[in-house]
Amino acid sequence: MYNLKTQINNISDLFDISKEIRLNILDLYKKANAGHIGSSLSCIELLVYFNLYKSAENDYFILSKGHAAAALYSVLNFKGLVSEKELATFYKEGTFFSAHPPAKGIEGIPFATGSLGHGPSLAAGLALGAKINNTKQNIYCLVSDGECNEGSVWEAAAFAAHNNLNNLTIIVDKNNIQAFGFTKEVMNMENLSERWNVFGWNTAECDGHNFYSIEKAFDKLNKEKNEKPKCIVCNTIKGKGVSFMENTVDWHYLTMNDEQYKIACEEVKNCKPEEYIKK
Amino acid sequence: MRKEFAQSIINIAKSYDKLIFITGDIGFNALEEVKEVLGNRFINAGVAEQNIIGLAAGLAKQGFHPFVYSIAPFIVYRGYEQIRNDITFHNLPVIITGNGGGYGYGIMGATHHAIEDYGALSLLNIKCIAPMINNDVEKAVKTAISYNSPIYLRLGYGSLNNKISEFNDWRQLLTGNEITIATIGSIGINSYLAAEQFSGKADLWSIGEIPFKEIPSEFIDSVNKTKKLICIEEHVKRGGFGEYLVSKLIENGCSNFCLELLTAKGYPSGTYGSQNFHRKESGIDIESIKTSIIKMAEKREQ
Repeated sequence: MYNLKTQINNISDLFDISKEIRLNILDLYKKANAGHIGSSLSCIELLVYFNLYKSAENDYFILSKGHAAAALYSVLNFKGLVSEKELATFYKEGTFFSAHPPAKGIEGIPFATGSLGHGPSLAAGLALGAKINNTKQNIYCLVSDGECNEGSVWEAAAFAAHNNLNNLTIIVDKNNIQAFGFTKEVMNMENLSERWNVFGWNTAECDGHNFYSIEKAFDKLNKEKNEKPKCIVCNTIKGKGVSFMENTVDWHYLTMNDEQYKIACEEVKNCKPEEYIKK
Repeated sequence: MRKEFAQSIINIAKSYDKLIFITGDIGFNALEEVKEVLGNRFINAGVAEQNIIGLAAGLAKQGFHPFVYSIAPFIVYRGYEQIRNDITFHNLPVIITGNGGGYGYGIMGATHHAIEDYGALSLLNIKCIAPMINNDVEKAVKTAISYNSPIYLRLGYGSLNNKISEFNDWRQLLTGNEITIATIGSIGINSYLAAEQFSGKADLWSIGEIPFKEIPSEFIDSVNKTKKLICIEEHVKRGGFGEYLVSKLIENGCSNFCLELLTAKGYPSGTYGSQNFHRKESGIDIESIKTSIIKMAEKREQ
């Protein structure tokens, strides 16, 4: 078992964890004076739910949108796989904790990511391997909606469906913003859930910040009687939890000054639980 | 070499259950038996090379030893970033098998040729294993597996009537004391057929892998003695075998020799033809190699 910092008795406990992780991420980015804050904030609940809460020890989790590495590192810290001391090296010279997940040096990170569109193929390989080995493993792969611009995502999607990889779950962090603009203006990926569906996947949509909504969608997928792989399209907000970062392209890259950091932390500390655990 | 390759896979897979085979929809009239014998360890992943490389990395992470297979340029170039990030960053034992290295696919045209393949992959520190003749293939496959690391297996075409020693990283095929010749992969056949005309003069070596291990002292002695070196490869000069060999010789203190690098020259006339047509245009067909040997011999007399 993981040495979790907090006992999880109920799905509503995940709210306190995501809040702590959100604060931890802000702290990491502030100390590093680094960007990609908005991208990490949009997928915290997804990482907490799928990586921290749902993943068993022999499962695999790939953060294909590697630019949200700080969120992953914080979750691994919460799981007891990464120490505070290690986490504090984020962005520093000689660290394993680079801005994107590394190939080696961190337990719980199976593959280096950062160039978009690699995760789904890697995950499909892991899923196929688990099937052939007859091991009960679940493979989770978190992608962004902008990442779905990549052709390789759809090569993997077609392959996984054709090979009945129902041990594979793709989680799409649909925050509607990519590196240089709103997704609908850069490359409109509307009806994303339907696109995965016509590729042969069981799909569901949810509010990607509300743990009950995520659970309901995932339960629906798990009740499907066929062997299709699972895709859960999660509607999220880039920069979630910090009002001046929410839904802006800028906070894909910007770094926080002291005043902004202070405000951001206050807002997270005073956030409304019902946004995260409303039934 | 496709048939020999297929047979080798069948032979090895019977007792090596980690072996898994992924093709990019290539193998008609060659891999049918491989498919039958390997069962669920044979995967046709369709025409999707980027995905295939990622898949292979995932499978290797799960403990398998994957062969991925396609026409050489498709599998090397299309998924180059996947090879770099997914395979080499994690040093996973994936054997990328490219059929028709060099101008192997002849009249199929430039899209089907791979004349920059091992140069491109050597940038990623992947070892290329290149059998010269069909009979080399089984040992080349076993060698590839034995490394348990990322490998590029470059298959070509051809056989030789003469009996030569078994596949190895360095093989001396002819002995001579006037010109040293080094060659890699299946162009070694042309090199052999040209050099054998110069009995007792041409010292011919076939190299089976790049980057290679230590250069044998006998080879360095040969270059020091003949002071003439011709390198022959079906690959462009930049990033090729000849450049690499020469840099290694210099590192070994062997630098006083006349040099000719016979390499693929691309498409000088802009027209297309058989593999031999392109070899001829590049000066690596048998007659051109003979001419180069004669010219090098004349240089010595000057």
